[in-house]
Amino acid sequence: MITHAAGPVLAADGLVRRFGEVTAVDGVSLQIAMGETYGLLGPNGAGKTTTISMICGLLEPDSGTVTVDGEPLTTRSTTVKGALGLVPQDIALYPDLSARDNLRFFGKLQGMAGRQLDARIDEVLAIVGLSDRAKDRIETYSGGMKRRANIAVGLLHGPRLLVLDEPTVGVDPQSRNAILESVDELGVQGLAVLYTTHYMEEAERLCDRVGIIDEGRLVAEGTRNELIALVGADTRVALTATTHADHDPAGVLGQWAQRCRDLPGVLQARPADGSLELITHDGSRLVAAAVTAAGDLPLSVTSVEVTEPDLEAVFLHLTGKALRD
Amino acid sequence: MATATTTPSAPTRPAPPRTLRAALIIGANDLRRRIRDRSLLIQGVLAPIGLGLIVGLAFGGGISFTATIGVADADGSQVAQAISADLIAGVAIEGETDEESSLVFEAAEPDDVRGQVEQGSLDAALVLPAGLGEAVAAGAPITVGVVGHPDHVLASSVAEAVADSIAGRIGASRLAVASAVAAGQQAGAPIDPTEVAAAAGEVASPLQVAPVDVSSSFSVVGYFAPAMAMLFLFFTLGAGARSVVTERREGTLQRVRAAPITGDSVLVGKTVGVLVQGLLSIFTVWAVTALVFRVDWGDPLGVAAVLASVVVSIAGIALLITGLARTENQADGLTTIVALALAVVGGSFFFGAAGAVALLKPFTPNGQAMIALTELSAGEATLLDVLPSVALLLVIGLVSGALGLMALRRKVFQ
Repeated sequence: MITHAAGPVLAADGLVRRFGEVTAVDGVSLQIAMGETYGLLGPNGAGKTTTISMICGLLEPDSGTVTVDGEPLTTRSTTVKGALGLVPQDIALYPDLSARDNLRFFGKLQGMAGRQLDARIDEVLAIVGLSDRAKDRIETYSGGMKRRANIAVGLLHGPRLLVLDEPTVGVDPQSRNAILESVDELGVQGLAVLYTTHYMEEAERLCDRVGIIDEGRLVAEGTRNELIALVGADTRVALTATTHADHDPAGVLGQWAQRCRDLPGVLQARPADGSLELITHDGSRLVAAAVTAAGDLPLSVTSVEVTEPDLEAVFLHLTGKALRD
Repeated sequence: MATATTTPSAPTRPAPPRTLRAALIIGANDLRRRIRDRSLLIQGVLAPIGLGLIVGLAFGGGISFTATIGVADADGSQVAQAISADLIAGVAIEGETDEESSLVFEAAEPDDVRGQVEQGSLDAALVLPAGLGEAVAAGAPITVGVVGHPDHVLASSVAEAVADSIAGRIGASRLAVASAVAAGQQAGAPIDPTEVAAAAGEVASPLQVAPVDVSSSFSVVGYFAPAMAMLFLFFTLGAGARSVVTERREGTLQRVRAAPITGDSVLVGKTVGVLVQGLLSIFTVWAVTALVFRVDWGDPLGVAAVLASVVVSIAGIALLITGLARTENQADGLTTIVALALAVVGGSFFFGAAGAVALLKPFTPNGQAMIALTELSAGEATLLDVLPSVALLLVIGLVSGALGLMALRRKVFQ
């Protein structure tokens, strides 16, 4: 019987890893509680996979520590690794074996055997929706099915912490959605999940907290709203309008912008290409006020577009570059 | 902040497997995959037997054996005449040969015997040298010459075996004469050396040539199948050793290492897989050649010991190559080069050896194993006799394997 300590399931403290002159990970610290899904968001080459390798005991950090359920985890650890389920970025399965045979092999390495193993294999195959293809070789699977089988192996032994390294890379939208739903469900079931991605939408959808990593450093961490508030990211409202005949569009839009600047909450208002662009902390409530402000001006509002702040904007603000750079 | 919507009870995880069990799981997985994709069957069994037959046909003229061996008497003594007569009468041949096989000894002129072999009228020749009779009488060393031709290696081998037999029998007859002299001395009778020498010359029976069993000792497939099996062991075991690097590239190694097992169990498991594949391969070749081609490999215990130790030896070399090579492809190329070089030096492609090759052959694992297997198949050795070869092969395998595993550990786990 393996017991669990109180406190975070995962605690990584000051992880540093260098490869020659390059510092791939530079002082990363994070904690994940039971039932929490933590997203590590960063572009390719930011240090996500290196961080995960140290957390899973595959790579020795130059400095820093990792504990799982309060037990130190290093490359030489054995028992504590049983609390981890790793879903690597690449499809880490034997293509010439069936999904069931792959699961049986990795299950045995976890110490599972016999009926317990067979029953659990059936269970995880059902979770990832591969029960009807269990006997087929992995090499005959589609990309999405391989990804799902890859996740099944990580779940097989009932880990406390599931580490998913970019599990939706190269997956069709349908499979991607199925994977995201599965991961969402895992957090609900009480599993601690560490999810790395460079897809902002996935981090926003799945993660209770997000750590933004760039060039090996964790530059910010918190819930989505905390991160947005941290950098003061604002809502952008674009109001497109047509000016009535015999009126100068630039002059009319200029007047409208001037009126909007006096509205509470508006940080910026400017005409741009036949539309009025407003920057505000609260876009949705401002739209009605902005339309009302047009009042007797000779124009008709034809469309409204509200762009809420997102993690992409946060990342851009914090690092000066886009996530997909 | 995150909040768990449920508070699950602590899951009971299984206890992690012990190192040896984890190693066996990993080794069994490798073996299952090699059997399932048939690469072990093709590379480890069919290829060596098939290539053994082909090489045998190319070098030895097929499984059937036909040869004419000349006997040139350059001495003319009573002893030499007796030996020559026995050979030509066919007493040197024992065992059943198939319908297409025949071995004939015929008289040849000493001055012309080399030319006859070169021209092909004789496949090989024995030369009973001038002074043979006197040497027998004087107790001096005996050398029976053999003239061979590279195109007729089988015949040359037979001639060498017969020459060895003659020298052996002469030694035995000397012992008999010496015993008679000693007995005469004990009885107080006077000893006349001339009479004893004459007696020795007249002892026809002890000087008869020891029969050579052509059907068992010179089976082409019996020689080339194990030789080719050893060559292919390099490829089979090389692929097995490289699998740790391949799995690292494909990502499965990381997943294996993320399991609650030690790094040692991964390397031991890979090594176990490699060894079992090698043993399955070469023991199957043994079984098939014995059952299908009726090859007598000799003392089963000795054969098993030699085959097992040569698998250890080649597995060790394969691990060392994989550990030292910078890339998977480099390891593949180096394995091929080493395998072919050792096959040439170790005599996997031809009978016998000469010059530098003869000197180096015992120092190659396959050469050392072939020497031991040849002695076993000729019925000249048992397990005890081949133990030095077995020990040497094990030392080669254990030392190179240990170095290879150390290098692999650095390369794969750091």
